[in-house]
Amino acid sequence: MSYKVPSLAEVQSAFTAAIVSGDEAAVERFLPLINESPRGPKAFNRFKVYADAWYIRLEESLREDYPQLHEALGPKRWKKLISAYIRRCPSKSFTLAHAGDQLPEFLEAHLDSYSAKLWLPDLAKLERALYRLNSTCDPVPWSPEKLMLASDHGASDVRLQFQPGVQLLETNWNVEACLEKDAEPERVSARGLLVFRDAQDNLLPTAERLDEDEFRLLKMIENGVTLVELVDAFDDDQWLPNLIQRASEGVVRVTTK
Amino acid sequence: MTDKRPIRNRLFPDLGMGLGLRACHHEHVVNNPVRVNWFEAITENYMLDDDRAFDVLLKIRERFPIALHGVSLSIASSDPLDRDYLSRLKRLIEAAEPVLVSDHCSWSFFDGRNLHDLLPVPFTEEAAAHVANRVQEVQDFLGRRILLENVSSYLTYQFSEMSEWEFLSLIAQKADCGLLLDVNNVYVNSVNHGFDPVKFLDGLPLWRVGQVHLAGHREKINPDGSRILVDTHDQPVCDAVWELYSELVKRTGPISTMVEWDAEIPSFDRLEIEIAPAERIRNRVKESELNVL
Repeated sequence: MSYKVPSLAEVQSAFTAAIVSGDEAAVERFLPLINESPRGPKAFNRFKVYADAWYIRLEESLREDYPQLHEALGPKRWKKLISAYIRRCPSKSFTLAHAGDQLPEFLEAHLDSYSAKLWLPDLAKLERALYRLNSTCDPVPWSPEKLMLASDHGASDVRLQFQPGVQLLETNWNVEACLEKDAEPERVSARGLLVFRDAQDNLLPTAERLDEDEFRLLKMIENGVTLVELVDAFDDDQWLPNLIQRASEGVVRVTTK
Repeated sequence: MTDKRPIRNRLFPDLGMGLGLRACHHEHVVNNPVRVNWFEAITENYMLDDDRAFDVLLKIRERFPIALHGVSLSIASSDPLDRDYLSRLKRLIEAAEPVLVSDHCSWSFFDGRNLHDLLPVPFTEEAAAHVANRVQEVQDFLGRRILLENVSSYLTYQFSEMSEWEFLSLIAQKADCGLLLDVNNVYVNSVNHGFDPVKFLDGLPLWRVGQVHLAGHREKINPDGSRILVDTHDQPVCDAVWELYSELVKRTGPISTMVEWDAEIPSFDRLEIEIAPAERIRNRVKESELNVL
């Protein structure tokens, strides 16, 4: 009987399918490619080291990124969620740091399968914002003098942006309460939640609830607004003290053309 | 054609004793005197935009030589090389000026999916040519020679045409690259696949070896009672691996050596103790006594 040697791509395709699908047929298709000696481990046991490592590595990384979500779901539902997520949202990044990037939206789309707690996707979004924030370089506070200096370039040339890692979330659940264990979030009227490291408070990671005016201001800054556009958008100058405060906290920075 | 040359012609400098740089030790290394000569940084941990770790790496680079060690080049994948990854790597190299740049002789990506593992390659002529071509492409892009590391493996393929050391030698010669020899991986594979680990060493063009890894492993007992050694990086280096390292250094002389510890990471002081036997072994060997390798 002739034996066709598989190409590199065929081997990798079969190996990947066997690991990822968890499907018995896919594993059976891969096992004949593996050497098996009479006294050594069976082909399946050799393969299983890789299959187990794939799940364990991703699950551990995601648990590290989403500790409160893990806590809120409990081990069984967490395992069910992660098993589905890593198969349906494959990691395409060179780093495990991005493996959980789609988890909040995946949970949001399939929440019925995992929990009746409607606030869980928003908690996941907050945790994602925090793990991104914690790996980002330190924010640089902008003093009022520095802001003034930058604005000398002319209001239409001055653009306001968030500093790296700063994120503005929209949620009517006060999920920030979950960061303290055993707290259940409640519905709140203010929807804006700003996540940043406070340059005026030892770079402490902070999740701060915003009133509607400041949410509107920061939403415009998140999208890269110019000073001229800000002046046009608001009826009075109440936004200016807010802007100065946020710049000094390391939330906002200024770029010029 | 033989690829053996006198060890004095070797491709890379001896940096002495090093350790893997891990985030939990960043502060200690930045703020304290340490008893190692160099650090190896995991490339991908410093490649992200606006990442805090990158600033720390540059601080450490001011005091120590750095080796960059990647886990996601996926050089043996049948997927195309990732141009974005290579551009990021090149920018990192330009900023951090590492003495050594390495990755693994394995694959992690297939069809765009990263399995986040160092998966084994069939030891075939086809695969060797594929890997060697890609190493050349990477080296041309980066403008420097890289080192390829032998990986630990738990399976081999029915249709392999050569031994692992022949496979690595073939790639290194074709691509004119360096080798990073993980002595623990040699030992783990020798147990898992039943070969003599010293034969592995003797089968390599050791003049191309620019760096050595040491690490710990664990034994996994299968339901049928058979055992597999798993490269866990969460244990001290075992005696058998120290013996094999000694055999290597007898052949190569002092060579850049480091201990990897990636899970249940102990204190930095404990790691400094862990690397100490390597220094004693290195000191026993004089380069003048070395043979042609």
